[in-house]
Order: sequence, then C-alpha cells, then structure tokens
Amino acid sequence: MDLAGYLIVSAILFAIGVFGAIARRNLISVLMSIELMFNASNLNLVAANRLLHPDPALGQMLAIFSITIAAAEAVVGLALVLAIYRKFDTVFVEKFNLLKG
Amino acid sequence: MLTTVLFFVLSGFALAAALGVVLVRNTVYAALLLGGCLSMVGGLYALMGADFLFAAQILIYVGAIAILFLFVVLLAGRRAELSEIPFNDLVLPASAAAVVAAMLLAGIVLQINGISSDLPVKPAGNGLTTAGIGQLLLGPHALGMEILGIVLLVALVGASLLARGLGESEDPMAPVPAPAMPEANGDLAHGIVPAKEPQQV
Repeated sequence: MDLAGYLIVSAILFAIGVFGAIARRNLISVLMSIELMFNASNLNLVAANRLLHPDPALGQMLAIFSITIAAAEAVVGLALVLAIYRKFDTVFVEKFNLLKG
Repeated sequence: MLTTVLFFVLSGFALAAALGVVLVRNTVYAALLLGGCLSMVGGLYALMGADFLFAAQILIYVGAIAILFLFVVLLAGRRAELSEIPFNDLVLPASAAAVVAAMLLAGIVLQINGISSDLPVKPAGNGLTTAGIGQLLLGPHALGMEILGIVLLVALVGASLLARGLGESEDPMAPVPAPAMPEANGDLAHGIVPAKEPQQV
C-alpha cells in the first residue's frame, strides 16, 4: 500500500476525533476523541517516515516521543476528570460553568 | 497482495471502532472500542515494518491508556447518564468541522500523491528497527529522552496530587492524616469478643 492510503485513513481518523471532541457531552468521551486524534497524527508520521525517509528509525523515535506525551496528557486529563467529578458530581461538560460570566 | 488485504481489513476495523467510540452511548463500550481501535492502528504500524512502535502501541495505548479510561469510566460513570443524549447541540458544526478537516487533509494527500509516486517505495529491508531506535535514543537524542523522563515524572506526581483531591484539606501540601490506630482496650476488644463466642459454642 502506498503513502496515500495511510494518509487517507489517518485523515478520516482525525476527522472522527474532531467530531467527537466537539460534539460529545461526556468529558471522558472528549478525552477519548483526543486520543483518536493523537493516533491519527502518529499514523501520519510513521507512514510518511516509512515511505519517504531513508532512515526508518528516526521518524519512529519521533512517534515514540509523541506517544509518551499523549500518555502523560491522558493521565493528567483523567486525574482532572476525577477531581472535577468529585466537585461537580457530573461528567457532562455543559455543567462545568463555574467560570461563565 | 497480502499486505493490501491486511491494510484494508485493519484500517476498516480501526475506522469502524473509532466511529463506535464517538457514537456509542455507553462509555464503557466506548473505552473497549477505543482499545480495539488502538490495537488496529498498532497493526497498521506492524504492517509498515515498525515493530518497536507496534509493541509500544500495544503496551502503552492498549495496555495502559485504554484500561485507564475504563477505570475512570467505572469510577465516574452513572447509570442515569445512559438515558441521556450523548451529544450536545453542536452536532452540525462538529460534522462540518470534521468534514472540513478531512477535506483539507485529503487535499494535502492528493497534492503529495503525485510526488510520492515518483519516489521508490522503500522495501521491507532487513526488518527490525529496534536497534536503530535504541541507538538514537541513547546517542544523539539522549537529552530529549531525559526531558521526556522529567515530563513523565511531573505528570505522575501531578496526576496523583490531582486525583487525591485538593478540596478536602485547606493546605494542599498538608500530609494526609493517618487512620486512627485501634486501641487495644477500646471498642475493638468488645467487638471481637462477641464475634468469637459463637464459633466456640
């Protein structure tokens, strides 16, 4: 399979993630959609490196950095979800209107 | 031929599972589908010959992040939320944003496609890239790896501090009060003795 196939799959995955991050009410689902977008970008990175760059290890190392940052983001985000749930007793994002004027 | 079939099967399952993550009402199923989708993306990595990334994807994403999502769903979920509508009133703008994003990315793909068809597709080669990644991580990019370690440590400490809850005590740095030790001659002694008597009788 050539580069375009992987890039199109990555684009569709990213679009699904964008839709979920905007339209879902549940905060945990929003975080899951953000993980989908992270995966789309990683797939893009690995495909472009594999099929265009002569050294396969360099782009994969970049993807590993990205995976690590995504893991840290998920952990902190889920801890925030738990703290907010304890405070507001809900996980629906439209209820979090403490800073709304 | 086999790689083409595998590509279509893996990407089809990945996209279907991703749609399920976004559309399904029950977030427990969404977390499980997220694990499936991430596994399929890992399969795509393996198809591209990125063996270390495949292992990292399974270990980190499927084994850690999806399971962590499942834990949080089980801790912070409600049965009453299952009967509510899972989407807010931004469904149409979100669909428009998704379509625009996909079209922009597809436009980039179509621009690239004419160029990349001229380049020779790299053969699978001698396969494994793990040794090369290790030499890069401990050689020229060792500083980046150390910074990543610091980022992970800070995320770990911050997440544990946040998840413990700052609202309970006035001073967030105050140590958690230790649970009161049971006194030997307190209520515990009276509590144990009646429990033992029926066993002896």
